[in-house]
Amino acid sequence: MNDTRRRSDDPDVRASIRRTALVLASIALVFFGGVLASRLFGDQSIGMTVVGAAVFLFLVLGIGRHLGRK
Amino acid sequence: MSSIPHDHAAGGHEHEHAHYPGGIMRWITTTNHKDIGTMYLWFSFTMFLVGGVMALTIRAELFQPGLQVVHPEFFNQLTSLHGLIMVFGAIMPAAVGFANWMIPMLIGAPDMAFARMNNWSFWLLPPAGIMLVGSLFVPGGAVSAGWTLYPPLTIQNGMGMDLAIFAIHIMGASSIMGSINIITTILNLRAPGMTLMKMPLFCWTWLITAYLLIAVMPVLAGAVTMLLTDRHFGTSFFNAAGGGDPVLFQHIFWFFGHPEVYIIIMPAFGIISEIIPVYSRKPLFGYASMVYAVAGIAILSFIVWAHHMFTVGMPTAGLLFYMYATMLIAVPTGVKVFNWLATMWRGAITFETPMLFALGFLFLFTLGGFTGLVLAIMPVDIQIHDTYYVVAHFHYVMVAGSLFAFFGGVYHWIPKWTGTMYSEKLGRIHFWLSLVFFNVAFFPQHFLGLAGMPRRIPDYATQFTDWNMVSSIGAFGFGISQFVFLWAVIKCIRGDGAKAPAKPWEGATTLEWTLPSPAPYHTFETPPVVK
Repeated sequence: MNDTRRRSDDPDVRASIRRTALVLASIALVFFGGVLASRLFGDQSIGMTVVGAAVFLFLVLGIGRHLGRK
Repeated sequence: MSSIPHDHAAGGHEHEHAHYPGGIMRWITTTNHKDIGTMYLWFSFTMFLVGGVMALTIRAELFQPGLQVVHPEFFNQLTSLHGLIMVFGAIMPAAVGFANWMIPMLIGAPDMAFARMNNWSFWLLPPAGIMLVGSLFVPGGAVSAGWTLYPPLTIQNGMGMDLAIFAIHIMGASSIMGSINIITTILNLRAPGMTLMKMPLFCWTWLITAYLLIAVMPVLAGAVTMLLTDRHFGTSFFNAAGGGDPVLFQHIFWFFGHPEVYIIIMPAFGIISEIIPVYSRKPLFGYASMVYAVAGIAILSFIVWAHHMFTVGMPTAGLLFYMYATMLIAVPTGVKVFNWLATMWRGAITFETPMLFALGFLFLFTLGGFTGLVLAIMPVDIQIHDTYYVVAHFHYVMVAGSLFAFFGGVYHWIPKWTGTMYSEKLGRIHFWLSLVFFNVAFFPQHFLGLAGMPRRIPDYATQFTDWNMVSSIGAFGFGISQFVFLWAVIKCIRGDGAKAPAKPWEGATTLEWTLPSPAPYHTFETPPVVK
């Protein structure tokens, strides 16, 4: 593949890019899993649980990373 | 903020030399955002012509009452595929094409954050497009339940529905990858000094659009996956015969479908917000309020979906909630329209083709928004639900809204893309023909809808004949007018026109105009410093 040279070759920028992309991809997966789970188990609360658990997990990870940096 | 003081000499040095394979391999293997943007735009235009031919076949059938041109079953397939192709194959890829071309250059980035994924995002689209169009030729024909894919019809459709589901999955995956790429690029690769609130508004509108896409495309993917399992694996999510609920599909579909409307229109808002200040020679009025308005529209778009289904039977409290929530969207939308008007106020306005399309957008989109407000009034909507009034409304938003903005965007940036100025004469002819024929095609549809003509029918009562004839004449005129656009673009690509300077527009202030025209293959490898 012909590639372009990018200043994103900087390891810090690369790590930040990967982190952003992973968070976004996991949001997409949560929405996909949530809508399927809510109908698969025949209960709207299941979908809410999936989304709620994911939000909680994001918060725990976010706070954890913040505390870890300190 | 559209005016960005920058120190180009401090770091905006470009590489003229480009290393890429020749011929077709350049396009298959490219990871360059400009090449990929070009491919998106050509794919989109091709699908626009394919969907357009379907629209013209529909209008030919509707030219007079009775069945003349196509069988009713095929007519239903045409209306369904026309919608799917125009939404997923034409308008969305066009917006992504603009994003690919312009976002890195507007924020001073060398390319998209995930250049290889960018290539993959694009190359998923042609197979999906071929599958959608090809579904016309399989036994049973294409999906015929409308672009909204409502069960139970979609559970009963033939193999064409499976192809449509597969195509939607692929296009959805492509959109999600594209969105991740756009958000990651904007958040991580902006030039030093370019804070979020200094970004050109086109980047803001795309940033918010990309978040919407990530939230709603998986929901559509979930819904069509459940349709697939209902069709082939014995589940009954939406199949009433097995205890499922078809109305539930409508709720899930429109949870995707309403934000989708804004996914289609918000990049157009961004383009208009780039064009109007340039040709008014004034900075965009109320930049911060424009950003907040876009964010407000995006948030509200998640809580209004059931206004598309006022007639399914909902509690009155639900009807009232969705009615008022929908009307609320008029507030941030009004902020944007008035800010565009205020930008032009006392500006040194000139009326080059991009500005003409922006003004056409402003006038016609506002009209489409206003008819949307009429449809939001639940008692009115119950009367005109699924009539041609709805068809007129969303064509004013999607064609005169998104498409006019995209045309304006092409004329605005094509000197930068090709290094050649477009023919102002052809641009003006294209604009005026499009404006007149668009209104001839779609304005009478308001009358037809108010008189009670239902949508998605190949035959109709004779009292609807006159306005249908007018509408069909307008549609053919609009379709033919687009060849003027194609001609104007091809002339630029062939270099048949005046050579474009680096900054052909006096009022242009954003970063892309600091680059030579045509923009070099690699740009901003050393980031510019934005002051």
